[in-house]
Amino acid sequence: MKLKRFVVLVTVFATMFLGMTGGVLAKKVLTYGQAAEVAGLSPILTNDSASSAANAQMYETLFTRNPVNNMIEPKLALSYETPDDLTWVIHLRKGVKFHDGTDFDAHAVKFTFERLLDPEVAAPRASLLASIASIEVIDDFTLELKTHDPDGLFLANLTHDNSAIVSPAAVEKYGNLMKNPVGTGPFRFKQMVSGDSITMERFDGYWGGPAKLDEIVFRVIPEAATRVAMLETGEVDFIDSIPGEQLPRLEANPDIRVVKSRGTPVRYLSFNFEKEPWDNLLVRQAVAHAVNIDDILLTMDGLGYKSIGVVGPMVFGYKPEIEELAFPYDLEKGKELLAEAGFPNGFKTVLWTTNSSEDYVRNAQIIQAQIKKIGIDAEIKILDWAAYLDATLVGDTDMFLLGWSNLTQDGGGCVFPNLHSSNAGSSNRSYYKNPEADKLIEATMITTDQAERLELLHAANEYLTKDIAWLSLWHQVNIIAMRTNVSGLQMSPVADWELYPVDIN
Amino acid sequence: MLSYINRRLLMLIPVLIGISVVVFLVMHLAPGDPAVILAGPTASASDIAAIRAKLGLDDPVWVQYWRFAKGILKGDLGVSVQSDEPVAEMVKTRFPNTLALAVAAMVVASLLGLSAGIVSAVKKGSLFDSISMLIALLGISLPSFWIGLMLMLAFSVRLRWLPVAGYSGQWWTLAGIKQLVLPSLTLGIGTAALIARITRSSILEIMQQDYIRTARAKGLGQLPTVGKHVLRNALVPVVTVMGLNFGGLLGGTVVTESVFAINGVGRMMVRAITSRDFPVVQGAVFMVATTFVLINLFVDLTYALLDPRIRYD
Repeated sequence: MKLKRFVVLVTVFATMFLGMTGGVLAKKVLTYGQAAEVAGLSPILTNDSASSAANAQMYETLFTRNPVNNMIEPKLALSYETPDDLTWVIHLRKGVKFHDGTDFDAHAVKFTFERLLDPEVAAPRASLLASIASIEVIDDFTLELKTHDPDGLFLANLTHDNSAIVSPAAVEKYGNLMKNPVGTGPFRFKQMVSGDSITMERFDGYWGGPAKLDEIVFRVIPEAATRVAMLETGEVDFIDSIPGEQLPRLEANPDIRVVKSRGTPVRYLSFNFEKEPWDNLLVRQAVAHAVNIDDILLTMDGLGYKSIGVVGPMVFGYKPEIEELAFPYDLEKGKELLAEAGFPNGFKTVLWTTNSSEDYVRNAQIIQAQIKKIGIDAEIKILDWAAYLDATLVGDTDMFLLGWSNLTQDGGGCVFPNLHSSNAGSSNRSYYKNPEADKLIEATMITTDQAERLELLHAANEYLTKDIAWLSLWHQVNIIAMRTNVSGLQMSPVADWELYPVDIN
Repeated sequence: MLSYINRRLLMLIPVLIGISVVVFLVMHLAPGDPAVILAGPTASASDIAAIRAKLGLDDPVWVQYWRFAKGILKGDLGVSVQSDEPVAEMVKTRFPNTLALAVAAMVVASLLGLSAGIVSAVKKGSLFDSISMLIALLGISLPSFWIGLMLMLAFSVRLRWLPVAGYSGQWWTLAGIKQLVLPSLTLGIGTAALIARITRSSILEIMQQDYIRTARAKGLGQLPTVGKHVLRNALVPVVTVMGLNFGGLLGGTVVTESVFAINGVGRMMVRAITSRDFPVVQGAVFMVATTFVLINLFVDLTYALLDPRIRYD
């Protein structure tokens, strides 16, 4: 009797144990250590990179950039035609479902775009689609979009995370999708602990076939040293935003793989063109000859690479010829140019920067020391990011450091907002107003032929680089680190990644 | 006693009004615009204008203050500019984490501080005394950021005894306690050092009193003397320090929360300040200030328990 009970108990426990381990083994969960907190899960209402990273797993755009060759490919779209310069006819993929079971169709696209453009909604990235004049549903899977003017950036803007398509039914139901995301992506929302973590699970009805992972978890870990430690112990499976000084520690660890690739973000030294003497090309040239970019890169722990152009190597519109315009490090030349500009004894100025990341301050300190050698005595002024955005917006600055992430990966998306006169006072923070440059920039915007655009963008890049509309210091090397059991993770030049093809063993 | 408590609670009203005005003005007068942050550096002028209009940032400051004050009276702290979440809900998710961390740190601080202080005082001049006071000095001087990372390296990365970071919110489970060990040590070590030093000096002072000599003269042993006569009298300043510091711990969790990835109020507040998320800053400061005032009241009331001569009428 006792023996029988014992056997039964053992069997029960053994089954439970096997069941448990079986369950654990079968479930593939990948945890990502995220540096910043997600603002929300609506692509329409957010504009921060943390939210984009989460949303990119749950929502999809009509077009996308191939992470390998950077060419624009259809995603939720199948194909498109441009009968004339102002008309885009887009054919949509059939058989695509939103996570709530409703069908993806032309009405959903129209709904999403109209919502993004609605002033009442006040979408932070409404300007992505600002060129749209009308949206017409031809049939369930065909749309006709008309633009006010020819828009060469149109397709690139449709690849942007913030123009992802949302479920109209879900928006009707929840009001907005900040906490109730419903898209067409390979993962669907499971749970969110505001400020702490987001859990997403595989969407079995995904049109491209189900993902390999069962669940993905985004955990907020603000401190870089903590993220690295958690990757070392396996509490997270992969991380990004890794400071250079932590790299040797990670690279020495056999359980961890570090992947680096050239990215689109650029850091530059800019000038307030409304203030003397920065409107004088000779002065800007003098600075360009005095700033030794190689020295700056030495302090970047390999997180930056050199390229002279305003439009960088990983951005559409770049041609290697631009590097011939580099300003060689030459202090004598710098002094001569300053004297020619009327400052034989140099002058005093202010170099503005922000403490939003350490390298902003470090870059400023090095530049301060370098331009001092030709007689420019710059006092460094450090502001927090919010105050800095404000100060640069209203044009309080003199010399200042800023960055641009080039999320559309198209040079037009860089030179137009930053250096076209019509944007002075908003995204054109240097108040650079040059009719010649305006013409070149406009030409790149109104042409829809991509081969022609490449030449036009190169021409604009050449002009802006020669005119030192800004001085590019470095372009970002993107870094992710993962446990070696993670496979299939591929990072795009804008440091985006998709977890759809990823597997974990 | 009851009227004293009522009076103290009534005093809360002007304090909170004052806090609301100061916080509101500091946030609104500081450079930086929530709409510009939300829109990001890429934004066009019309994007920013639309967001400003939606958030009501174009209204005069006093209109905005009145809207905020009216909300508070109705128990509505507003909605986050960044995440569109009600501030009260954001605080509700995070405050228990901060509270758990602060309480755990206080427990650690009291246990370490009191025992070190008592033993040091009783064995004044001994090796233990010197070493524990040296550690106490280090504990006060070292930045908690550094202590946290060192503890993490030693106990989590090298020894693998404890998780590196994160807190599930369940302090009553073993996993939750394990998650709290390092953060509470990090946060509590400074306070432990302070308590140790105050306890030691306070006990030493009481030991000089006549009534202690009398107790000893009656033939009372070391343990009952310290336990019955010394401690009770020596603890009044210690409790004051503990009370004041508990408020400090609650408000000072920011660094520990960041290092150990704990989803607390401190971290939320820092993020809200950097993104100029006005409603969140105002709501959270409000809540912390209220707690602070209530803790001080509680501390004042415990004096009477320790020293019956203290009266509140």
